[in-house]
Amino acid sequence: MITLNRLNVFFKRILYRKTYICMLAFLIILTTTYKLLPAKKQTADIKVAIYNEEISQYSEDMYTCFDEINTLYNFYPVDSKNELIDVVQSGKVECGFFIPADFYINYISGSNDTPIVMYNTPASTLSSAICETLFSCILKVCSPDILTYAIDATAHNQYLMEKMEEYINSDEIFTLESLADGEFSFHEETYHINIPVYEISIILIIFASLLGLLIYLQDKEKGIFTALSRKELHAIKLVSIFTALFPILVVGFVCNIIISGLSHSFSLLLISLVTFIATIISSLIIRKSTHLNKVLPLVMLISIIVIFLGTLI
Amino acid sequence: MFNINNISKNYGKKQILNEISFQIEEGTAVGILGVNGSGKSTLLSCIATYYSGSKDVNVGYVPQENPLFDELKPVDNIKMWSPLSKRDIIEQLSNPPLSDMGITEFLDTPVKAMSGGMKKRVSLASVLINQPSLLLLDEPFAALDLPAKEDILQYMKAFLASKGTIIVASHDEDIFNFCNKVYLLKNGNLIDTDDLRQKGISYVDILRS
Amino acid sequence: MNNIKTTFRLLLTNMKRLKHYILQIIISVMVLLSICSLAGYCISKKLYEEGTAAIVKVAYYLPEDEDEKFNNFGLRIIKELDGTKEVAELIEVETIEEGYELLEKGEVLYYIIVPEMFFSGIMDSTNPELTVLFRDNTGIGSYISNELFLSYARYLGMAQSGVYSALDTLRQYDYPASDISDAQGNVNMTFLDRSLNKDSYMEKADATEAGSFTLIQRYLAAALMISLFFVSFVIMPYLQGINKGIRTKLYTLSTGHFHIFIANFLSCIPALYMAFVPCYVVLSIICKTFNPLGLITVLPAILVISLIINIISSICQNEFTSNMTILAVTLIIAYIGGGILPQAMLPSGIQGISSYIPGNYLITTIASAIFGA
Repeated sequence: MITLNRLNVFFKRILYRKTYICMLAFLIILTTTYKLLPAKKQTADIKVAIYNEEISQYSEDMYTCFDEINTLYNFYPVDSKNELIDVVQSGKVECGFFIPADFYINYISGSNDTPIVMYNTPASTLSSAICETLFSCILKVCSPDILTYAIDATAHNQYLMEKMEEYINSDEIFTLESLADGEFSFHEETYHINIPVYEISIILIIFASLLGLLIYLQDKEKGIFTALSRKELHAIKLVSIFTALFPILVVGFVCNIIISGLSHSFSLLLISLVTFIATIISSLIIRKSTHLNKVLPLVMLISIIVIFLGTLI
Repeated sequence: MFNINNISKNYGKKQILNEISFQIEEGTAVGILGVNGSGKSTLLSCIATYYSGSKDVNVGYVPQENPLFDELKPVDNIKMWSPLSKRDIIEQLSNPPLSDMGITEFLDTPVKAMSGGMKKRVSLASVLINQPSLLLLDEPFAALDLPAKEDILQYMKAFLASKGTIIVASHDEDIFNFCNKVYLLKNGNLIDTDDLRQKGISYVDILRS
Repeated sequence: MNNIKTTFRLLLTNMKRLKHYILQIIISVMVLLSICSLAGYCISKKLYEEGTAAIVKVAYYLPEDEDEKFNNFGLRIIKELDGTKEVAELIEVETIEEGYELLEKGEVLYYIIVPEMFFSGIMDSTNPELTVLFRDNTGIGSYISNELFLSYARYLGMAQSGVYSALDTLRQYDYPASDISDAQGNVNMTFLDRSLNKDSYMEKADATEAGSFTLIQRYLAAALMISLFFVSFVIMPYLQGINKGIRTKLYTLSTGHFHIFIANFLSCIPALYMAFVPCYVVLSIICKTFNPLGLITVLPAILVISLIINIISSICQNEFTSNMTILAVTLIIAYIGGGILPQAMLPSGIQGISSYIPGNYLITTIASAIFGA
C-alpha cells in the first residue's frame, strides 16, 4: 500500500515539473507536425552546380542546350564560387563546375589559360560522365566560333556559320536517339519530412531516467529519507527512476506507433529497459547530485552523438 | 544617536515596511523580533542601504546566509569586503579584538570545508575588520550549536563594549535578553515591546498576540 | 563609485576563485574536443555516400573492313575517355551472335553492333546506322550510359557539322583543292582537340580541400566551439557561486544584477581562454598549422561565448537548469551555424535565419584563429 502511495506521489512530483511537461509536449508536437505536414515531392535527379564568373551569350546558350537535350543531370546555377564549393562539399550536388571569365573565348582559340575547375568529393562517381555532357554542350554552343577559328576564311565567316547552324539542326549529321525510355522514373519521389521522433524519444528516455535519479539524490541530500532503512531507500530509488521514465516511455511509444507502426515501438521498450538498468547501476557509482549535475550533460551529449551518428551510419 | 527615518518597502502590492522610523543610541543593541515573513531581513537590508553611501556612518552587515565564496579561504573572502591587503588582514585577525574569533587557526581551510560556526565567524570577521560603527546582524544564531552561539554572543558583547551599535534580527530569546531594546515588527510597523515585557509577557506570547 | 569599486573587487575575487577550476577546465575541454571531433569526422565521412550507379557492361562488335584503322583509332579514343572509364566496361565480341548470347544471358546491359565502313560513312555523310541493343533500359545505370552515348554522339555530330560546313563554304567560294584539304584537316584536329582533350581545358579539384576552410577544418572548429560552451558545465558552480548572502550584501552597496553579470562575464573570459589555448596547441600540431595571431583573433568569439553562457546562468535558478539550457542552446547554435550538417544541407528556412544566429560566425572565427584566414 505504501509503495502505491509513493508511486502516486512520485508521479505527481514528476508531472509537476515544467521541464518534464515540456519534454512530453515536445514529443507530441513533433508527432502532430509529422502527421499534419503534407507529403512533399522531390526530384531524385543528379544535381550539378555551375558558376559562371561572367555571364555571356555562351553561358546562356549553354543552359538552353541543357534544356533542349533533356539531360539526365540537373545543371543549376549558383551565385558565387564559395557557394559552389559549399554545395559540393556538403554532398548536396554530385559535382560542381567553376567557369572562369574568358573561358569560352580561350576555349574557342584552343588556349588553356583559364580552364574550368571541376570540384568533386571522394564520393563523386559520375563526375567524369557529367563532364562529357557539359563539354558536349559547350562544344555545341561554341562550334560556330571554333569553326571560324579553325579556318581562316574571314571574308566568308558569315556563310560558314550559317552552314554550321544548318548542319547542326539537320538530319544529315550523326545523331543518336535516346535509348532510355523505360519505366525508371527519376523525376519525382514523394516523401514525408523525416522527423526523428524515434531518436528523440530515446534521448528523452535517457534524460528522464537520469532526472529521476537526480531527484532521488537531491531528496536524499536534503535528509528527507534519513529515517528509512536501506531496503526502503533502494525501493525509493527504483520508484523515482521508474516514475520519471514511465510517462515519457508511454508517450514515446504511442508517438512511434502513430508515425511508423510497430517497427520501432518494441525496440523503444527494450531500450527503456536497458536505460533503467543502466541508471540503477550508475547510481552505485554516482552518489551525489552535484556529480550527476556535471555528468548528466556529458551523458546527454554522448547519447545525442551516438544516436544520431547511428542513424547516419 | 542613529536616526532611521521613513523606511518603506513593498513587493508588488504587498507593503512589507510601512514608513518605519526609530532612533538608536550609540553603544546599544536593538533587537528586531517578528514571525517568519514579517520583513526583518528586509528591514536590515534597507537600513544597510540607507547608510551605505554615508560618510558619517560605517555600517557592517552580516546577512542570514553567509556571504562567502565556498572555494576560497577566509582571507580571500574577507578581502572581498575590505580594502586591506592580505598581510594587514592577517595582522588584524591575529590581534585583539578579532584574535578572539580564532580565525587564524583555520586560515588554510577553504570555506566549503568549514562548519556552520566557523563560517559565521568568518562572515562576522569580514565585517568587523572594517571597524563599523553600526553592526547589522540577520539571524546570527541560525543553524549554530550552543558553543558557537555562545561565541557569537561574546563577540557581540565585545563589540558593544567598544562603543559599537548593533541591530539584530532574530528568533532567539538569548539575543533579546542581551539587547537594550527589542522591537516587534508586525504588519510593516515597529512596536516597542518594553511595556509588554514589563507586564511579564514572554516573547513567545508577544509574537502570538 | 561605490558600486564600481565593489564590482571590481568582485571581479578580482572571481579571478582568484577561477584558480580552483583550471585543471577541471583543461581536462574536460580536451575530453569534449576529442568526442566532438570524432563525431564531426564521422559525419563528414558519412556525407559522401556511395555513388548511384555501378559500372555498366557494354559489348561491342567491330567488323573487319577497310575501316579497321579508323575503327581501332575510334575505339582507343572511346576507351581512354574518362566518362567511359567511370561508367562502362567495354567487352569486345568476335561475332555478332556472341554478342546476342551475352545480352540474352544478362552478362551485358548494352550491345553495340558497328556496321561496316562506319567511320568512312561519317566522313562522307552516308552515316550508316549504328545498332544499339539493350537488355533493360529502366535502371539508373542505363540512363547514365545513355547520357554518355548521347554526349559522344554530339561530339561526333559537331565535328561532322564542322567538316561539312567547311567543305561546303570553301567549295562555294572556289578555294583550291589543297586549301580545302588543309581546312578539312584543321577542322578535324580542332574539333578532336576540343572534344577529346578536355583535360587541357579543365582542372579537377577536391571540394573537401577547397574553399576558405576544408570540411574537416570546419568540423574541428565546430567541435572546439561546442567544447568551449560545454566548459560551462564545469564552471557553473563558479558562475552561480555568488550566493544569496553575497548578493544581499552587494545590493546594499548598490551593486545589483547588472554589476554581478559584468563581473561574471569578464571573469568567464579567461576561463574560456584557458580552455581554448591547449586545444589550439593540440589542433595546430595535429593539422600542422601555425597561426600565432589566432590567439588574439579568437577573442571576439570567446567574448560571444562568454556572453551567452553568462546570460543563461543569470536567468536560470540552479546548476541543473543552467546546464540543460546550455546543452540545448549549444546544439541549436551548432546546428544552425553548420557545425553538425554543412549549411548547404540545412532547410532553406534555417539557412535564412543562420545569419542572425552566432553559430556560423563563431565557427569561422575559431577556424580562422587555428588554421589562418
